[in-house]
Amino acid sequence: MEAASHRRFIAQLTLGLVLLLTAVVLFNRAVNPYRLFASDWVKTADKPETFTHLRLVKAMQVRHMKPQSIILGSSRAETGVAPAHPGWKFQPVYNLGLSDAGLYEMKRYFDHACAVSEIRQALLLLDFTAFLPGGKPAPDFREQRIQKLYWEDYVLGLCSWDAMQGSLSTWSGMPGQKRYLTDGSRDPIAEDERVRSKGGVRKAFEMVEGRFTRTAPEHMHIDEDMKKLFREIMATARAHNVDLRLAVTPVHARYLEMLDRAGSGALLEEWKRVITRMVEEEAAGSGKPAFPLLDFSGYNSFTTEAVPDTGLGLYYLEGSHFNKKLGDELLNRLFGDSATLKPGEFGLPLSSAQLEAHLAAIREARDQYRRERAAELATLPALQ
Amino acid sequence: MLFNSGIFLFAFLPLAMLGFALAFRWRGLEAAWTWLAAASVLFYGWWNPTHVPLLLGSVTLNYLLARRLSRMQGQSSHWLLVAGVVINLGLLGWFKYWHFFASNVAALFGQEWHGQPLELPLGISFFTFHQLTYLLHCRAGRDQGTSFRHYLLYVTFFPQLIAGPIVRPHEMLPQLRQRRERVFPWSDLSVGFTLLSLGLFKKMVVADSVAVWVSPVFDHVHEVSHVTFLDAWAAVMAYTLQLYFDFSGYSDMALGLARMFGVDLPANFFSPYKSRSIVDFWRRWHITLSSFLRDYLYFPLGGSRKGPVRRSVNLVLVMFIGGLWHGAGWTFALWGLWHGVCLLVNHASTQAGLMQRLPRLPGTVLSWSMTFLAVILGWTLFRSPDFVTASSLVQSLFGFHGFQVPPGWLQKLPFLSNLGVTAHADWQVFGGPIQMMVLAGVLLAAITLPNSLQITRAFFTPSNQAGLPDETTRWQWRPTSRWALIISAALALSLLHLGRISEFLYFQF
Repeated sequence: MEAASHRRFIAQLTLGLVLLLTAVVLFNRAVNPYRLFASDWVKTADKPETFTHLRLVKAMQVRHMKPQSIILGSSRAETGVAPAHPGWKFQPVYNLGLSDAGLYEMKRYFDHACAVSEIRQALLLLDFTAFLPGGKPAPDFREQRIQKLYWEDYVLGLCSWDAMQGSLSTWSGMPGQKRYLTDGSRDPIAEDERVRSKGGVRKAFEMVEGRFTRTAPEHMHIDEDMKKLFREIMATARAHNVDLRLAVTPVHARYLEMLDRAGSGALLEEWKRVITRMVEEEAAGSGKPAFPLLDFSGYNSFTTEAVPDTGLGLYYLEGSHFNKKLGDELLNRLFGDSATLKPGEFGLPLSSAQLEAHLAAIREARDQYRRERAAELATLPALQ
Repeated sequence: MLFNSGIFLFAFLPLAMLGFALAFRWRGLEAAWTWLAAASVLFYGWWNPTHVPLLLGSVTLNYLLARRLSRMQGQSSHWLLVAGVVINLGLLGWFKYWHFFASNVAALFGQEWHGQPLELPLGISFFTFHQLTYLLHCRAGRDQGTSFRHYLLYVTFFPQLIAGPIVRPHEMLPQLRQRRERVFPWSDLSVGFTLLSLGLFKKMVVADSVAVWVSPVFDHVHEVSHVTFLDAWAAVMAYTLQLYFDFSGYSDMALGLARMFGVDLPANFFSPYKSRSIVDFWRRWHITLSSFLRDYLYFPLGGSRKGPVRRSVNLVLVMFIGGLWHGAGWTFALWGLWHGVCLLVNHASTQAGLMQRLPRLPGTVLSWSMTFLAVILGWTLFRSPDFVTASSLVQSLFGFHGFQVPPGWLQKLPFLSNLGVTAHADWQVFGGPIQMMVLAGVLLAAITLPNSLQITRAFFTPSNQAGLPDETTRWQWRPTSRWALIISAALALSLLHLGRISEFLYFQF
């Protein structure tokens, strides 16, 4: 008799466990908080957990959407470069920018996109800090999910407390840390709101500039491993016949000033020489025209935008992140005619023939900027 | 391989049970024990296979020594026992304390020690104590011709191999000799699963949830000028709760897993945060360690038989050694000393009858509060990487670094400003009222709810039941539908947390 009650208990416990876990799986499948599946069973306004599971969400969305054009880069690409720009030749376009990504993650996500879709056009937004040593993949990066389905993603996305919390916040419409559009880019309205909540664009600038004071300037160099990754990205593009366009990110002049004060000004120039040479070497090696490499960093009407004391700026969210409006200007140059541009101008195509003249023009513009904005630059934080 | 990992729950455990059942069916119980011992060695080797020869070598040597001890009488057996103790403690000392000892001796002579600490074989503190008790058991002539198979299983039995409980030979070996008709009686499975599920819930849902508030403070004290009042309290309370739910959850899992194989292990926890004195605390916290230290250290030193001064010295010395057992570091030693001193104060207060003079309710509240405060101050020392961290945190706990609250609190309660409370926005872990309610709720559960042993008392009797507090509860587990629903919910919640694997705190000791 007693054995029977214990046996029944085990059966009931097992049944209860199976039913509860099944209910959780069905709920998570219905809400689909991490876009594991192409369609949702329950319509929700937003996926607020996208940012907290960015590597998973974007890997899956590329798989579902099968874009023909992609945007690669870090958070600068996510916030500033719009897939909706009319210049993209091949549709659909997906913003595969990844916050805090280094070159390795960019390369692996490019590999992934090429494996699951026919990519015909791509923009890689280049940032010189991505070429410095020490970058590591983000904690939520998983090598296993690149190019193939990863069972752990499905277990964690369907049958975990984390997914349950994600589904509850998605279902109840709770706002996420950062808001993403279905094309993979950050919602510009939400980004503006975030800047406002920080106290306005000046406060946001100061916050970023303050970071330079907390990290001691180090002797930096362009890392050989990163150069190898850059070559591999170009090789992947060549192997898949991707129309790859390279763009040096347009950081604000104040940010350039902080870089210079941190001792990285000369290294930034050296980096431009290195990538220009690498692009030309790749073209010579493959016997094909070089991938266009456009420089948007420097001193011009966009990057020297005055930072208002309150409210929002016209082009910048803070010193290193630009908004969609400047992103559209960048894409206009990228897809338009940039051949008539002079050295130092916004979006000049880099080539070894005019690189030194371009760098000299930027230096000259920098000196002029310093003279004209001396009072403003005096307010920048001093470095140790 | 952790008890709270998918590979253990969905591969190792089912295969260990399947092999046990097949061996029992084809070759009988002894073959099943052999299988279980082999599975336990595999479980150990999963962590680091290079330590398996050490474990097996130590087990074999101790078994040979024990066999000889059982046959010998008089003075010669005494020296053999001494040799066994020296070998076992020497091995433990070499791996665990050599670096600590050498670096301190070097520092004493103004030198710098450049050696690196050895990789500590997992569970060495536990299997050393198991083997020492077995040698003493044999020397006392109490062994009944234990086979190597049973001895190997006694030392390596996977539920208790890595982090206890510390099992005495008489608590386990007789159970291995008992005949059984069924390989897995349904009652063993239902009680075992219940304890395992409760343990998983305590570890994965409770302990790991509050754990996120611990390290950002304890490991980064040097990076801030001082830890704020609320950050310090949040981190210290979180660690106090994490340690209890982590270790007692592990112990429940160990008891449940052993019960599934028909073995009842001794209890290790009995609601320690309900204690109203430090003496009471040590009857409820890590019970098998404190009883080991009492029986094999405190009593041989003379216990309380040689006068009050000697008793005090013995108590403090035993607690000091108990502290060092937890880790080769001065913070652990000081934690042990702190508890030794608290025990002395406790004895003195009991002799003076201080608490008895107070009315019942205030007396209970005061004695519980003082005990709990002493315990959490001890945990602050225990968790801190060094004395500077511990000292800074204790100062923050008592407001020596000021009292800070979120700016919104000062707006709502302006009188706080007059009391010297200042506004602060950049918190390390303090998360506001919701976090405070979570911590308070978990503490309330620890001090008001019945524990796993009380709940399963009608069906589970740990081998040290006689020494446990005689506290019962109306919440009695029975193999009913209602309990099946409760346990399946606890297990489901635990399994949903499987993706967040974290090690048990006591594995390091």
